[in-house]
Amino acid sequence: MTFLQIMDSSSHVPMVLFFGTIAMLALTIGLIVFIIFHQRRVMRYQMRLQKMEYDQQKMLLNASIKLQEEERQRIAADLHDDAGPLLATARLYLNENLVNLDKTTQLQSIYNAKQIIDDTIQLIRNLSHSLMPPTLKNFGLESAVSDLFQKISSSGSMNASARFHDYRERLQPESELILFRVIQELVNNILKHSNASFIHLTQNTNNNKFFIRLHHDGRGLTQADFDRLNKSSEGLGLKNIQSRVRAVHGKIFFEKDISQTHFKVTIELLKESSMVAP
Amino acid sequence: MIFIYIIASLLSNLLVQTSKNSSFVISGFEIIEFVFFASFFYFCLKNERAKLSVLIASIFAIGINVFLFYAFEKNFDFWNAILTTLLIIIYSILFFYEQVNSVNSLIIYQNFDFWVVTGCILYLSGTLFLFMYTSSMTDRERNSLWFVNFAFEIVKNICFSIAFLLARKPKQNILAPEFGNTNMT
Repeated sequence: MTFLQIMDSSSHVPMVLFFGTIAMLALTIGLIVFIIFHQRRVMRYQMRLQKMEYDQQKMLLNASIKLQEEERQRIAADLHDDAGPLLATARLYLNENLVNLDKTTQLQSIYNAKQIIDDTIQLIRNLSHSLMPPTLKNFGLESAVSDLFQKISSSGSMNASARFHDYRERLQPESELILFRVIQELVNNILKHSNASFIHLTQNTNNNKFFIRLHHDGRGLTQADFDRLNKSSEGLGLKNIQSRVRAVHGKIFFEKDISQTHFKVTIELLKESSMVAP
Repeated sequence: MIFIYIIASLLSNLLVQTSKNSSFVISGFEIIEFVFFASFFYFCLKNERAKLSVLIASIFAIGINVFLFYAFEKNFDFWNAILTTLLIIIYSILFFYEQVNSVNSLIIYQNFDFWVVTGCILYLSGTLFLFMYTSSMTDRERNSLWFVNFAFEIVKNICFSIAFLLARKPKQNILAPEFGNTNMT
């Protein structure tokens, strides 16, 4: 009010001084308040995003732990149920009483024990191969995938083929193993759920990126389905796929073909420090 | 820097009251004040392009101000107030924009520089019209209206005091404690 009284008493001081000051102040305070509220909104959004990512990571970690436990249980069961009885039987054939038996029975017992030990060796080899396929270790992803697809095709249930277009350089062994596991899991899912008549895998590289694409004609997943299942408590296998792909800093996309009849799964990863293929 | 500015501001207020040619003191102080504010923004901004823009615009504005100071002594305050206030408001918007997009996730008013900037723009926008018409006022009018300047000086100094207090406190990122150790790759 003092301000206005001064202005009224003096004709030289225009009204604009009073209203201008009020307007400028309003604008400035408005700007500051807007910035504060806007930043709070941005931060709330960031926190929500971080929380979602945290939950997702937690879910993936749980899935990975669960898978590890299942794998251990499977190995334990294989050793306990298959290798254990086989070795116990071999031991029965080679008991202390064997020396008191006649020569023919002795030879028969030794032969039987040898057979059982051979079976056990084969069993342990299979178990070891399921943990780390020797083809993958020695000859690389192309051979391992071709081997896997050949086995599927020869079973007669599905036509499976793989074609590697640009695989002159091998990936890092860890990346190859992870990629192979992901392909195995995807193929396993297709075999179990899709009712497809064929699977076709293609490999390519572009701009230092390594691409694997799986095609099939059965029932498949789209990216939306994958994201939904990944966030739900179901889909342990998919969560493992996601966590494995993340571990090699890769990406995975699920989509329907342009023809809308086939489904495609694309795995993309950076070709970092690859090694020359044999 | 802020501390030196406050001392300069106090000195100018004393000189305005005691000096015979108060317009000259006010005009001189306006240029010094702009230099302080512009340097503060230059050091606060992190984006190199924004920093360069502030530097070029400020040098240009100071050049214009010095020219106006000698060429149009009578109307100097009018143009100087408009130019410097507009520039400082633009710098503030640049600063706020950078803060909002910053990844350090601190609440903006936990930063001491936010309070310095708030003090600057509140003071400049509050006194813009007063300084614009300083030259055309009589000494009596100026003395009667000078309380507006003092009022906004107080507001500005309160903001600066908050800034000093915050600068001494350790900063806490509100997102860090909860999600800092969640890297599970």
